[in-house]
Amino acid sequence: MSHPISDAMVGMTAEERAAYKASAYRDFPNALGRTFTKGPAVVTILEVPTVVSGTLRLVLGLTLNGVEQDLSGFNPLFVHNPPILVDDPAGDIVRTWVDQQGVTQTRVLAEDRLRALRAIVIDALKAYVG
Amino acid sequence: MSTLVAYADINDEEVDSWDGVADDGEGGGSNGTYSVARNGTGSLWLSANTSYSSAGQNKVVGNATEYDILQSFLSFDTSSIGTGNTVSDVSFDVRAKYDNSTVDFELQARLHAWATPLSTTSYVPGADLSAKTLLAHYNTSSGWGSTNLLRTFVDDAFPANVNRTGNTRILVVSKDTADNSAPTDASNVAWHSADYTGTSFDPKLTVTYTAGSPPGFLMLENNSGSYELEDGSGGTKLEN
Repeated sequence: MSHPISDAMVGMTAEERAAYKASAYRDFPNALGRTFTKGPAVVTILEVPTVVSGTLRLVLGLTLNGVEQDLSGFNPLFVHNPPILVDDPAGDIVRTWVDQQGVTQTRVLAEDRLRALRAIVIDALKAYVG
Repeated sequence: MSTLVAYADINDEEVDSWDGVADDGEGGGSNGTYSVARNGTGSLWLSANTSYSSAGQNKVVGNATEYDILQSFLSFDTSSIGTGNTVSDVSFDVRAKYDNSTVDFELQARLHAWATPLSTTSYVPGADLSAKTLLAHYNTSSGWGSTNLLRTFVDDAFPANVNRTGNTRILVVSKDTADNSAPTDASNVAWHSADYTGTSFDPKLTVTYTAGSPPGFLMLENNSGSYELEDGSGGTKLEN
């Protein structure tokens, strides 16, 4: 397991990190036509992702139970500061901190653009479709 | 129409205020005062480099009574919208981390252009909260939970207050703090923050906006067969 994007962003400002992560999605291999499924929903990336002023631009299609949905009020989808990490007990990025009660807390993450992108588009469409 | 999902900047953090009178753990200590905690004139603590943020109030009863106020600060880069576009809808979402409440209460997201970096001096005294525009609210009677559930705030005035050329900075507090209503028990909740992580569980704004009409003119043919130009406002009429 590796985390090249996280490594490359060390020392960057918040703005630089956001733009770098957007570029990482633009360069994601075989993004066009990729589908994500959740229950009756199938989301398809309809155009090659681009980056506009540091923000990721996606155009999505959606079917529910095989019926194509009208996303004219939704597309294009711009994503600023897209996440690249996911919670994963098998991950190799470990965050620890001490909370206000003095207790050490831990969160284990993995760098995984595919799983993160799935969550981004599913969440965004869930908010739109309801 | 377009949609922008802006995930919170990584420096979203929390500032806690308490009355500064700590239980000494030995049966001593003296009771704290709610107004001191609410005003931020007791002790302040910055929660940085953590994986979650919280907001609300707390009354801790041990050997002495202690009051805490928890405020969270978030920032979203919404500059890509641009001034020429009109925001029609905003959804402010967080993912629940834990519910530390014995009574339901209302969270409020208020407009607050806090300065970076966040520090303990960023704490906003309770008496100043009502002057900050209420953007959205969430009542924990609708549920909170501790299983990463998506919690969407109910809009009050978010669309008109999105910064279309910069960062939209907000503050999340308890309505009780704004109302000067002291807690009778624990009433605070936490959610996953962007600080120190960067996952799809981070707080986000989903903004729906429409492209504004560019300044333009309508060409009309008049009775004489020549043309006139009329501006889009229906005001000034220009002859060719």
